[in-house]
Amino acid sequence: MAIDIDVLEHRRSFSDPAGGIIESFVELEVGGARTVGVLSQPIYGSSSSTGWVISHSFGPDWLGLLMTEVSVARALAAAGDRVLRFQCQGYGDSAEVWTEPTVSTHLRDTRDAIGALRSMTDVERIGAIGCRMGGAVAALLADEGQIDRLVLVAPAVSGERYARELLRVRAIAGISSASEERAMSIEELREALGRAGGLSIKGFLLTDTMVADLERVDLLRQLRGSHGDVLIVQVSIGTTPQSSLGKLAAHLETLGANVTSEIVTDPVAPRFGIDHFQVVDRGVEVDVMRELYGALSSRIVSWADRTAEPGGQR
Amino acid sequence: MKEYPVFVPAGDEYVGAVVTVPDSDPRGVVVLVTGGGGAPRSHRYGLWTKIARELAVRDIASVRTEWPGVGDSTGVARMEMANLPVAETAQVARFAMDVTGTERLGLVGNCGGARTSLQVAIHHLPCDALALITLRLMTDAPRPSAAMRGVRTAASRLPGPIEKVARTVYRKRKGTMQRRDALTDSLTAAAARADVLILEPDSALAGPIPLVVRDVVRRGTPRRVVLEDLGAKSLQEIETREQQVQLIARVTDWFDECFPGSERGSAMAIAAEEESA
Repeated sequence: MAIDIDVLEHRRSFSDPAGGIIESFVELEVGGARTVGVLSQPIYGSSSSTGWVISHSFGPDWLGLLMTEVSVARALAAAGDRVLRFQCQGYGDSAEVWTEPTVSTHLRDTRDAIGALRSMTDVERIGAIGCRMGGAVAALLADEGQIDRLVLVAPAVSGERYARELLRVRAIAGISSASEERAMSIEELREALGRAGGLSIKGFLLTDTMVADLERVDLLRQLRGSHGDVLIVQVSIGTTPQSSLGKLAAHLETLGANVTSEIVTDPVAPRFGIDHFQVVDRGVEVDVMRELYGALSSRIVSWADRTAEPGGQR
Repeated sequence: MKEYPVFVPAGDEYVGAVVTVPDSDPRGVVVLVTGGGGAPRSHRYGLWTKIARELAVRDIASVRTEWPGVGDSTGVARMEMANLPVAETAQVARFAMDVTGTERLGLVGNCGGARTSLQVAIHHLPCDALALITLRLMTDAPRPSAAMRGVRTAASRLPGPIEKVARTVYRKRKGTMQRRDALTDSLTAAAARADVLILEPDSALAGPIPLVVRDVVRRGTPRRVVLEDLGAKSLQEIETREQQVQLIARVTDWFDECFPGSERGSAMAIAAEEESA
């Protein structure tokens, strides 16, 4: 019995006439191995010269931010751009799903994905969008001169702080489980990580090696190249600017970047990256980030419009 | 082995899925169903991806699927135990059976995905094997009232035999017995055709699930119902790669045993024949 390849190939794509987009699964080679990506495009073709790559975040964040990234990709495609989202090695459907991802593998894979987007489309300018550690990776790639336009959503400016935040998720889980053996401080978790070799955080096995690698990220020290248009979005409950993002904006401006800083407020902002589902009733869970996805997407699309090249070339 | 990512039409939405096909003709197809909480088709730790690839080594095709509104799927995500994505999962299963050219079906799911798998097997498609992970005892029964919870507390202070009677009355009112009965009926219906493996965390093995399995077995179902230790606290809390490897091996072995054409199954049958001889 033969596999029905024709049907499988036909179902790689779907079109959404109401939303104005078409999405297609694409096979990519990143980091020397196959992975899965999705190319979002306007349904009636694109006249935009910009193509976007989504640099997904790290470890457990990948699950927590997936829907944010999908929402942004679809919004930009509906506005006329082409957007590639993909999975780095060590995640999801990637060939090397047993691999332990690091910041270095994220950089390598995202670099390859940019090359893939260039080869599969006729885009001239590359934009990169990343949330949290995905933002840090996008910024580091922009520093290499790979990227023309940069969107950083709640970027991880300090890897050390970001790693502590991941461990804090585990610490909170330990406290809420009301189990004495699991309720450990972050320092104790860091030590336990060294002893056990790994800790489970929201369905991701975080290892000592990964944490050590994350802790080396320091955007204020590492970014030295020239940068173009940059949007930095703070995601928070209130409107008080965060000092780390202010410092990043100032640093990028000294490197010649045209930085726009925006703040998106939402009551669920503290959960951004950690979790997007919440129990709202007995046996009922909903995605509590949906309004935040919409707000972020509209800000990003609006900024992309404003900073488009003269003549409407986004 | 080859993998095909696809958007499967399901109702008004498109569900993101990956069909994995072995190099040889597939002996059957297994649908991997995630639970609630927004995990995409690969699931936490990429477990569904890892299981899919191990199944392919045993010449078993698979499709790992996600809920509408989750991952690459379209729609709005909402997880309701009383309104699981059963029809959508059945559509993905039918799609996978059609494209892989097999009528032999298996389903594996955890938590809400286990419930979904069970419902697909009972109401939608003839299923040969099920692997149900952290199959919680729950329905849409309302939470007991404060008064009833007070009765429970008071009952716990009563002398032994009276306390036992009071506890039974309380549980009946609370819905535990109804939920147990409902799950017993569901598993009995599924086991009329499918072999059923239930994997529960150690903590749950002291709860009502073993009693449910005992009751199902007592009813004399034609197929096997097996309850085993998951080897982890939950599917979200697998702390080591070794635990992952064990779970992947157990699920893969299960479908390998259940689907005809297995070398392992053949070896087991020969061993059983030799033993009886």
